[in-house]
Amino acid sequence: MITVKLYSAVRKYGGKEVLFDHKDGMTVRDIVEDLKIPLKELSIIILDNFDSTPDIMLDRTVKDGALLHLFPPMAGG
Amino acid sequence: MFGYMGKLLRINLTNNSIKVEDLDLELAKKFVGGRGLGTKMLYDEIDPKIDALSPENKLFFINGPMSGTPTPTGGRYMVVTKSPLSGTIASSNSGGTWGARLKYAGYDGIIVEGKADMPVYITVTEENVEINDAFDLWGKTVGETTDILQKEKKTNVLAIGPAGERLSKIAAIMNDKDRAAGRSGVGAVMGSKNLKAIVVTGNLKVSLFDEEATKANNKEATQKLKDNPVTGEGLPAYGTAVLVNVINANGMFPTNNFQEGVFANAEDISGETLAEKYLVRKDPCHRCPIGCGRYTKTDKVEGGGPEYETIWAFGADCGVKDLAKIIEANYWCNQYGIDTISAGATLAAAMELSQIGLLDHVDFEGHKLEFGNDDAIVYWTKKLALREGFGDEMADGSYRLCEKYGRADLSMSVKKLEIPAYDPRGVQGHGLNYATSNRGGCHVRGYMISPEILGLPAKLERQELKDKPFWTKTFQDLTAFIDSTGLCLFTSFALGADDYAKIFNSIVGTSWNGDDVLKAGERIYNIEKQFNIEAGILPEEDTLPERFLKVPMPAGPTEGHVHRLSELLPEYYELRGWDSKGAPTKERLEDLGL
Ligand code: SF4
Repeated sequence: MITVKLYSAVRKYGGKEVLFDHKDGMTVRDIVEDLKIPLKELSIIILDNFDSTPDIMLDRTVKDGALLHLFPPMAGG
Repeated sequence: MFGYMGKLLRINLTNNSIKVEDLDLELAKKFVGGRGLGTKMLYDEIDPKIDALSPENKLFFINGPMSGTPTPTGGRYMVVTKSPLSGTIASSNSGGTWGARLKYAGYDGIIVEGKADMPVYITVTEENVEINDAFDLWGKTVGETTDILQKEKKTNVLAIGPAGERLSKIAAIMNDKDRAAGRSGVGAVMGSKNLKAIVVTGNLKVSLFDEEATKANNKEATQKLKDNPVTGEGLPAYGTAVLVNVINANGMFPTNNFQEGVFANAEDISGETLAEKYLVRKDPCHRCPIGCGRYTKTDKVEGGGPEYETIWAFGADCGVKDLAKIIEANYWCNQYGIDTISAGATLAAAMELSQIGLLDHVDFEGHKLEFGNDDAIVYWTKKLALREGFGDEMADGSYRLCEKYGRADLSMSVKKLEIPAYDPRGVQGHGLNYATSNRGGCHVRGYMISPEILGLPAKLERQELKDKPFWTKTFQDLTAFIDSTGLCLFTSFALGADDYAKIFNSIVGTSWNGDDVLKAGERIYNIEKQFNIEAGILPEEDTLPERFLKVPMPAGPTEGHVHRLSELLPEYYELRGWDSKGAPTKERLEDLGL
């Protein structure tokens, strides 16, 4: 099972949390496409404690039991 | 004169003198305004060694050239003084409308000197300046004071609350009710002068060097702010508290006085939850198209805020998950005029002292200061601000409290100013910024969270050390410039140094480029540092609390990391042209025209 957590503006694509069954070779991109999130609406992705931008993260494979966080562009301070 | 009004008000409360002085335009341009000009003038006028709460200290309320102009977010001012909390330079920025109104009354700034015998307040109009008896206002909250003094629409009120009157070293100066020059204890300096409020009325216009170019630049800047997903969507929809989840998901959301980096109840106190349950409307500052400010309402209170930092300080840092209680604590900070970051972080430090048994003798009056006790944050915020009971021991911030119990190491502060809501073990560049910020533990001197976590303008790996000194210095210098203009730092999520240069040129009549902007920022950073050195701030104070340097983060996405300051600091000093002890070299100062 893979746990996907969504935040602020991208919650409209699936609420706070979506669970996915794991499939071999599954990537972050597969999940994002499945959720129908336009890539330009994503800014930061955290997969199993590593955080980076979509260009670095989308083609990473997702292991069974993974925790994936998807964030739209945001800032504060 | 363009951008500037050309006049400064100098008010001496010891002898009731009021003088109008001409602004030195060359000096103003060199130091831009606000933070830069205020620091330069303070440095020239006081001995940095003086007691910050003595009549010798001066209080600058000072605008930048873009304040009061139609530039988006052009309404902010700076309070510049010597900090009673840290002993360093203090420059505390605030939004709302008060700063712009001061320009509409005809002044770039007000310099308050001396000390009144009795409580007073100052009124400033286009025609007149008066010092008035504030006997009946003393003791009143910021809200009550503002309601009494706010007589017409074109008037804005700046005031301290009871915390400033009682010289709490973490007291804020408030304007427009709930906008705060929050940090460094500037409210105590105002209280020490027996000055309760400054009421400003005015309707003048700021002259612009090139009206057409300014109009075009503003249009372009406004469009950039609107098109940018952060300033155009994220901040307007969720406010700064949108950060709660991303900082927590990175395992650097300081929990229980920075003992941990993951707060299990982050969602309960997030910007998303705030928007869903308590948000009434956006609450933008003067001429701000972003509007990150919140106006919220619970069963008990309603008003401005809370910001991300406030939610963290009273929330995760105190182990509290009740957002309504956090909003209430924020409300009382605004009413009593106290810095929400330092107040929340001081309660958290007290909770840790209590956790290890050092406060067993304290009468907690039925509201024990222990992590997770949401009732305690509201109760003790009020007591702290009023210096009542154990609140008196907390009123001067976490450092003095912890030092009293022999555990200064439990104050999560730099130069005695409480560190905000990002554990430096999770962000190496941002930690370097905390250690080298001229006012102490502050996030908005060089907001490295932007590249290291949010990927703005580019994503840097947060634990990587390479290039972090360069980025930190660049962010610090750019921020020093923005803080001096009268614009909001949040514009920098969408605008860069060249944009600022263009806007500055069309308003003031200079012909600067992005490099000139950064150089002006660097000049300002260096004069601040020079002030600190002459004030007696020691080189070893450019550091972080031991917890961050020696105790690895216990669990979560930042598990096992410490902050590697000693590997970053030498390169940072070298880039700045400072010696190995962090003092600007003679050559560097000369090069910057200091
Ligand atoms: S972005 Fe927020 S803090 Fe900045 S001027 Fe606008 S409302 Fe005020």
